[in-house]
Amino acid sequence: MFLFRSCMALVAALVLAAPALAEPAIATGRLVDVAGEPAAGVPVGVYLSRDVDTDSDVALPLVASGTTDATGRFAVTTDETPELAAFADANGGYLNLDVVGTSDQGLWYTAIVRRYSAAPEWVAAGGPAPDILLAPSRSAIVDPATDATPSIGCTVVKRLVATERRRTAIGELHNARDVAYSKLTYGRRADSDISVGYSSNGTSWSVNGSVHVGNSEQAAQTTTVTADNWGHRLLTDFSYGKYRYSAPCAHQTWWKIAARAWIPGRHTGRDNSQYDHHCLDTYRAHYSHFGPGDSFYRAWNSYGKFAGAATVGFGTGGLELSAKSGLSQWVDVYWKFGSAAHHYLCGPDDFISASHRIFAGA
Amino acid sequence: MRRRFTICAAAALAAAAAAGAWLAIRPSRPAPGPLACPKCGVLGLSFRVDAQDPFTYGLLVLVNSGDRTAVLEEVEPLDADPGLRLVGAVVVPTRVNPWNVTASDHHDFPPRNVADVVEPLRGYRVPPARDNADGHEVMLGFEVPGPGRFAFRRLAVDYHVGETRYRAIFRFRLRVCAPARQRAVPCEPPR
Repeated sequence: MFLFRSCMALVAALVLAAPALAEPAIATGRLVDVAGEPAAGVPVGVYLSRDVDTDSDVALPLVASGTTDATGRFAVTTDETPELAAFADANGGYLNLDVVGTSDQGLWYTAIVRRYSAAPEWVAAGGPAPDILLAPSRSAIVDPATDATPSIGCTVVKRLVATERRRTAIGELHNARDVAYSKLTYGRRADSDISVGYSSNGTSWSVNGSVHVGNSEQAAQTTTVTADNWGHRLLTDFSYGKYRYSAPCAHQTWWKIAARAWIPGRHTGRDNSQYDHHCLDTYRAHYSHFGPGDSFYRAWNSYGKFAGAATVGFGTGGLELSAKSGLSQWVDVYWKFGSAAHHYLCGPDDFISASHRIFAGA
Repeated sequence: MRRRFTICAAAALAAAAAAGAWLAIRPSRPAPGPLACPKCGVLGLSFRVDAQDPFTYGLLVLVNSGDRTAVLEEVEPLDADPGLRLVGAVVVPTRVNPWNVTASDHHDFPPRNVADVVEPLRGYRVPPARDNADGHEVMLGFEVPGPGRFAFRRLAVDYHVGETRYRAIFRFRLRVCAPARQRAVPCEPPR
């Protein structure tokens, strides 16, 4: 009887353990204290950062949680659930998540973006998910009347405080000579990763993590440029929100500024034409020659990240956020060349199949 | 009791054996290997050509990210339209190509300005890259039989490193439209 029970227990344990073993990590990293030393035993929760559009507190769904080990490392694992899949589907395939660590020593926070791939594996917007380094933003504010009791599954609530509409760089186009036209297509789903503003006190702000802005609208916008010798950033509007977060179990409050939604519209940004007409000198290592009348497009890859893509207010004094758009299934750049014999496109850091930007002209 | 334990153990052994057998016989696909380009985007190219006039497609640039030489065997256009005929494949280091990378040549294969320096693809050796500009451009020669639009939507590169065989897939797309003079008909790259 003992042997049989042991055997059955082993089989049962294997069956029960199998799904857990198969669960991929949605967030991994290291958590350190104010001195930069590993902080052990800190609960880390990953919350679905769903948007809120009311001025009342809304509890964020806890996706998964874990606890740091003796070296400060944590690995929060979960499989994709129907709820997560639905949220991702409504956001271009990506989940915006809040990673929150709470203890009586402080608050740890960052915003991350994850997509579930078929591997099964959680990946970041630009590829494999990097390790997260969580540093505390401040010492805990503990209400003396009640002890802070941080724990796994601590409720995090989010409240929309204010909104702004801001122009944001989503791409660029570069034309040299004899271009019939070039175009940047953005949508049918918006597809941008925009950095997030974070403040532990509501007055001093820094950039901490990013959010992915997508939607399920079946509308695309295309910016077409027919001018020769033209190089500019291309802008569109986004709605930004300022949010107040709180974790009552740990008596912590913090603020976040993040893009909420794409507002279709086309605008021309700063002149970038100084990068053009250098394919045969500065960018000689990575240029390509095209023939008369060739049409060329590139899609589906991480394109350049634009520093200072948007400047938000919200009383920050002008917080600059960076943005990275596509190139993706939903965002691509296209050139239709004229009848001249020689046309040139080049990448500053790689061949045009993989470069972060594409410039034009000899 | 001992009989029940024996049955349980036998079941566990059978399950393990089945899993092992599945692992052994499951269909294996060659890995992409060191010539793959996971950061490459989808590229689309289109241009106009004349029937039975060989032309060149040249956007496929191979960079060996490994530490051993890769030896090319074959490039296969995938999801290709009937009539688009591959007539040749050659390779040239981008540092040797006067145009670095020749995306297209509508009337020649290989392009005249590299005709003396290209080498056959089969057996071409791609050494480990010194940097990410150390590329080797694959020039594919095609021909179309008559008027129409002809496309491929992916390229598969078969090669080996030592005894290990690899197949790297590139989401590079081409459409050509014949005849070249028929400019009223749109000729867009495949999506």
